[in-house]
Amino acid sequence: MEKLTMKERYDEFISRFGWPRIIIGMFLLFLFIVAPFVGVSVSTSLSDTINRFGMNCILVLAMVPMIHSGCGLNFGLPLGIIAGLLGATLSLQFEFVGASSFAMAIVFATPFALLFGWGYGKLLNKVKGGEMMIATYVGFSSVAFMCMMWLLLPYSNPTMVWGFEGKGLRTTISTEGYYLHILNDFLAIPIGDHFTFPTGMILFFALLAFLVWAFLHTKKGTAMTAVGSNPIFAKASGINIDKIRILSVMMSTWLGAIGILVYQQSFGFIQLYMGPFFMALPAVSAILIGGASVNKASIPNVIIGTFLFQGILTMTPSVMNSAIQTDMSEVIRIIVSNGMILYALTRKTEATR
Amino acid sequence: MIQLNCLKQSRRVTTMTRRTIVRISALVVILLLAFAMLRIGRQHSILLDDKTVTVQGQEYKALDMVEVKVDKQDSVELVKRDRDVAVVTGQSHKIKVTYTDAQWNEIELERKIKIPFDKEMIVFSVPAFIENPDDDTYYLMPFETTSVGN
Amino acid sequence: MKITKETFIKLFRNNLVTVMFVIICAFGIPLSGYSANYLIGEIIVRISRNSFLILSLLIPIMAGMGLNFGMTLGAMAGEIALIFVTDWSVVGIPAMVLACILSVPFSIILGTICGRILNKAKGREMVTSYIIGFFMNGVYQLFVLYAMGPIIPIKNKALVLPRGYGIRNTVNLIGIRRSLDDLIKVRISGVSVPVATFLVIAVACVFIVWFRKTKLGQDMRAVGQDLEVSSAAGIKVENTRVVSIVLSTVLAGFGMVLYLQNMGTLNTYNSHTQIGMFSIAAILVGGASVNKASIPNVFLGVILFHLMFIVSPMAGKNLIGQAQLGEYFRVFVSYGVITLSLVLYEMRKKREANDSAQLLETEQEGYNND
Repeated sequence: MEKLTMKERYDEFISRFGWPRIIIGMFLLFLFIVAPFVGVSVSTSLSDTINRFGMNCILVLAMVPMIHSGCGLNFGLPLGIIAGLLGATLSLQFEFVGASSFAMAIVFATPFALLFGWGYGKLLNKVKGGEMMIATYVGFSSVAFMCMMWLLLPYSNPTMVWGFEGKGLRTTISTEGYYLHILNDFLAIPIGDHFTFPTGMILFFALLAFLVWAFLHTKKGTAMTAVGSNPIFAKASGINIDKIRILSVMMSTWLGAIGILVYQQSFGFIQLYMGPFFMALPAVSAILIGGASVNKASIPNVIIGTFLFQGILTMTPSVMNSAIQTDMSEVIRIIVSNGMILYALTRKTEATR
Repeated sequence: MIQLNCLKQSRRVTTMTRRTIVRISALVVILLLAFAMLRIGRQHSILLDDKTVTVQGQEYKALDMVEVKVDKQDSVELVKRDRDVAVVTGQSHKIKVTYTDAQWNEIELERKIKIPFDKEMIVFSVPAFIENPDDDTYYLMPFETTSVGN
Repeated sequence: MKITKETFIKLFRNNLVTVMFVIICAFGIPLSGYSANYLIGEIIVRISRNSFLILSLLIPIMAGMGLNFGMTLGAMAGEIALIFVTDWSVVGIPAMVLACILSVPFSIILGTICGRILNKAKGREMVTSYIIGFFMNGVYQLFVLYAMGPIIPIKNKALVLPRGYGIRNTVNLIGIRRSLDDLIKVRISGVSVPVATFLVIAVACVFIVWFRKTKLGQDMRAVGQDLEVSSAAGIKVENTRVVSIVLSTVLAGFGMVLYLQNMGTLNTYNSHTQIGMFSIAAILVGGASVNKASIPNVFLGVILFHLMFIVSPMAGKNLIGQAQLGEYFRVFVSYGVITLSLVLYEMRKKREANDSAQLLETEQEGYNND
């Protein structure tokens, strides 16, 4: 057994984490340290970050199944989001309130998600090799298609439709009175006077994360991983690659649907029409920042990535605003999130941790 | 044999340097074209003033009425303390001033003026021009702006 | 008889997108109620405005780089050049020439960066160029929204935002508005045709045709066909790919200048974002694919795509009573077209690989049987 020298351990650490992640991690740390000096309260920022973490983590989790099965980064997440939106709007249409509203939203969304996922998966099987580009445009086309549908579908709940004509859904619908904060407030723990820890939301995520992790360790789950990392071996072992891929797409789509419902209950609004259009990109960046690659991802990637990404999103505007009186947050967000995706796309393979 | 190799080397070198020369000269041509475009295409605003001004110690009174024509644009009539704007493209322009003097004679003055390249707006003082039509230090003045707010 | 049926099916399948679009237009035009005169006039404007930009897509397709979503970078270069030109109060044709010349260094820098990144992502060029477009949008904003003013001197205060730095959201390009279009104007039965612009477009077409025959052009086509073989033949594959992107970016820069001189206003932060997507959709509608495109594709595409674009809102209004529906419809169709083309391309690629594999197999068998 060789004992690694300090330098070798240092090199290994760097190559395992990857420079971009280290830079981003340091940047976030820097922001937290600078915050109190420029008048930004750390506790508020921390609570904001944790809140946003909870909002987005399931959407990021949705990336994992498809990455595992070799379908690449799920730029077609909007498809799952739309299933979730259909569930949400139907639940509101039938006037469910409170916890049942949220539960029914999941119930309504699930068949859509599974159906969409199945079709989407079949499509991806026909285009092996070019999944990511097609995923992006399937996502876009479906959002655009639903734009037309939101106008035409016969919804009638007055809180959802346009005022005087009553035809066509509004662009944003408030979840207040329905399932606003239903998870957040569940078993919430107030810490200090600025911070309410959204226990329900975090627990829900933990539950789903555990389910995904458990699944990946079942026979089917390991088959999925095999399909992604070594398709030849998988085929030789008799695994039906196409079926596994479809399954992974269905899982991703369903998680996307759940993810947007969790997001909405915290955010307070259901965003229709062009709302979901660009929602895949932050999720993709987040998981990449967390250390995943195009064909390898794990639960820790999800947690670390979402935290780092949302941290930067929350901290940059407040700290920068107070420090240099400029709001560069939007530009920084664009550069950081897309830069991460570019970095991932230009690497050969493997992930870190 | 050695002589032939030397010849090949030198020919290869001249083809390379010839290529670089062509490339550099093409670049120079384009840069010159760019500058030419700047000179031809730069827009300026000539502020035509009929105001009483003091230039180099001498006071020039404004005229009651005077007609100014820049290049082929429509004539502009100015009254006392009036100011108008002529927007032109390029550096050199023709200005024609028509006025009636004390003896009720109609006098026409036509000159070519050159606008300094770096000034976007300049002031053309008609009264000063009438007294000194051939010396543009009298009648062409820079336009000073005070920036309003930030 | 069997042969013709097969060829017919093949023809249909290969041109599915174009055929679909013709059908959509055939329905949409009468539904919209626009007169033929109006439509023709609008189409002529659109052709003169967009063709150059779409032409810039041809070169990367030739070099096997797929659909260059990175043409947004060229558009940005053109916009930056125009901002400077407007700041220096240059007008008319000289302004356009100057803007084109000025856009070139920006295009070269941006194109080289894009090309280098794409070389690192072989096999994923399209997604990567797509993300590069977004990424560079951030860099562009950094430049135009923050650096211009404090770091890069802007003389004309009318261009600057009220807060003191950064360019305004809309820049009035009244100086160059229609300067090329109106240079040589011809009216044919009530429709005014911008002849000068068309001449410029024609020059671009000639350039592309000539370029294909040059050594560099041939190299690109070889690289586009087969990377390994060209590399073995001694062609500097990496460099050639980068050059193809740079050329495309430069052309896109010129195209953007042409586009904006027709529009007359520059939407500083929005003009370039949609342009990539619409140009790509147009060329796909014209029958191009990810690895094959030619000049007729460009013009057929621009006509069909923009016809659909123009008639959709009114057709939607007359059909359902909401123009908004028509607008969403055309967005859906634009994206749907790209999706469909990409899917068809991948499927065809797979089918061709299968066919050649089968061919090889039968050859082998024949060989074995000998």
